[in-house]
Amino acid sequence: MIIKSDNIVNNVVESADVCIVGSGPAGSVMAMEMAEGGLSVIVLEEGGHFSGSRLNMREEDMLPALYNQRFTKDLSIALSQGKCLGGGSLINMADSVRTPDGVFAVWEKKFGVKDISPGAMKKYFDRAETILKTKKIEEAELNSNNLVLKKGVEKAGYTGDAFYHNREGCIECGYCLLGCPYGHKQATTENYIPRAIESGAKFYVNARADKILVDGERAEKVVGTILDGKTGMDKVSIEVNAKVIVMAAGTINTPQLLLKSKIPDESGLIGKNLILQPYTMVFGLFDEELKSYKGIPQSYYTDNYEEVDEDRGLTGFRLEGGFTLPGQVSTVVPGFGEGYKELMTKYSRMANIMALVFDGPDGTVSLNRFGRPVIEYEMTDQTKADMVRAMKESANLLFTAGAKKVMFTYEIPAVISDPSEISIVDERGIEPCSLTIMSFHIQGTCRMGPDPASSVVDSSLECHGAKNLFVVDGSVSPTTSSSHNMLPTMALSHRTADYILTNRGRYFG
Amino acid sequence: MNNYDIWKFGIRRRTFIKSMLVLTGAAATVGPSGCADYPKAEGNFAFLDDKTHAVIKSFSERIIPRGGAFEEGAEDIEVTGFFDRLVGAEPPEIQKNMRSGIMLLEHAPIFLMFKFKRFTQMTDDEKDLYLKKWEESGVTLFRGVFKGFKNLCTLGFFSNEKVWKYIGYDGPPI
Repeated sequence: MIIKSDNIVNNVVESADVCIVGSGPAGSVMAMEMAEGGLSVIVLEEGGHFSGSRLNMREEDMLPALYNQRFTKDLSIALSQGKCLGGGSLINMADSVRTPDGVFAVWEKKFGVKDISPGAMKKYFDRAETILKTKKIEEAELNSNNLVLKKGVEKAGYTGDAFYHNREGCIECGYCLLGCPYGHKQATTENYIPRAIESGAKFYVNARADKILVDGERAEKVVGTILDGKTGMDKVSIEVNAKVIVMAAGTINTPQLLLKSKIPDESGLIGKNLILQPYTMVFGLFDEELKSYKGIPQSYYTDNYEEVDEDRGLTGFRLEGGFTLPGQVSTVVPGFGEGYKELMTKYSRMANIMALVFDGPDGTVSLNRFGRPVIEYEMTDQTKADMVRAMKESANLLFTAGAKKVMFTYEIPAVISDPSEISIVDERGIEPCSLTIMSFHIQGTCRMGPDPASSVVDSSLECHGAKNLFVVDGSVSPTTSSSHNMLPTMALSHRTADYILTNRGRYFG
Repeated sequence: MNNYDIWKFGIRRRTFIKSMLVLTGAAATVGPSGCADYPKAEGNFAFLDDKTHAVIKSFSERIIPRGGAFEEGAEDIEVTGFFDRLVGAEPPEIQKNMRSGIMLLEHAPIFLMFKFKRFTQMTDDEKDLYLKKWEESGVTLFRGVFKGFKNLCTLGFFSNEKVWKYIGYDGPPI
């Protein structure tokens, strides 16, 4: 069942075999697998429950309700994560991208992770894709925005393809980022969570986990707060005693909770090695009306510029279509005043390319004096060089596809009319807060590995410092797992579920 | 553009903002601005008070002014209400930083333009010149604050259906 805070007036004390913090993709996997494995499961989700008509497709309502929006300390990068039942799966663009084989090879060789070969992982990817009803996007489903990218890529002779996605019966309305009221996007609220509930799992929404209490090397319980669903104010407390505790709160909140709880950490790496996969956008302005906001937002990409390095894993950058709604686009259009308004009137004639750069573990998450996360990240010279190149390539592709002008998302307007002017990107470079840079695919802060001196969790994602405490979200990735990390995170969560159920006697007696 | 990351010189952001506010406060006692009343903010606000409401209102009306490509501007749409709703939901320390940023916006003309006026007292042309200095500042923090405030205003403005017809957006199907 889903338990809403409206119905709670007294402090809550629960006991279960498994307590899971976070109901995003990884947490949903664990909830379903543990519940269907015959275990009692309680999930704590800080966000609310939104489905059907509560997803009203209006930015001014849905963005504050569904998203956790943060910034790096210097304000230069905006980080977006889901804060709702289903987490990122409710608000993402529904891309399903497996981890490249070479990335698993790096994890094995460089980081010593065991049982992580492509062969070992295949069944977990297969399982997730089956439940998510993953399939390839058809040519006829490419919207105008993505067709612009495809045209540019084909004329340039680059490699490109349609995405695999987790939708069924999609009517191509284009509002994926605000949640699908029709239930066609296969967020985990459509599959994993209902299955978990059917097997007895309880989901507390508007329930924030505040601390994990540890006795020696054993995690004993999660203590938290029930929040008022409308105001977000603290209501009453909740305490869940559990034999196994699973952290699936995301790459920022998971290390936050582990640090607040002072989980033993020999490596000192909780919160370190933050990977952001920073991206920016480049817009083409066309004579014809495109209405790029309609249709599947992200359906085509070019991988011409990405490769797997033996040491660093996935490197380079990916270019993909990804147009959004007017409020969100307004935050990346440069300038202010009448010139800005003039640019915004071109909204229905715009197409964009998202330039997604594969960075390294270059950031950290620490706590401020209030126990809230502080995110520090400095782009390396390599990441900056890749982003510059990505922006220039995007501009070239847009001109090739017929754009009359190209607009970069520098705050000081950089709107060019000819490919010869693309060098403005070399002149301006990448300076903090001068260009719109965002991050959706946040990873790395509780790195996996066999050695407690150099990793936070072991190869089965169990904390070195606290037995029976697992971390299953994107924070465990030693390098970026994929261009879109929902599917790899879910596959890893399936793998850990498998491990726990195979060794259930050790944890549950 | 020269780029100065102040904390690379060992200055913490909080210290920088506090220092700027102290200096602008001191300058305000010298100039004619004094401590004049601000108009009462109409409506219920979780975060904005009369002064900060006036500053953000003035700011939003230069970011999205009336006229030009289409008549409506920020003063015709509830942009300050949207700003207040989003910031009001943030943790206390974030709200404190936002308040400091707004104060700096209001009182820093003396440093950026050598004008003994508050931002809300400037003419529209003066405000535009002043905001350009924020937008193009060599100090990352100034650029970051400008962009953050701008984004909240434009998000509130363009998610309002009154303006969709001007940008060719049909609105949601439900």
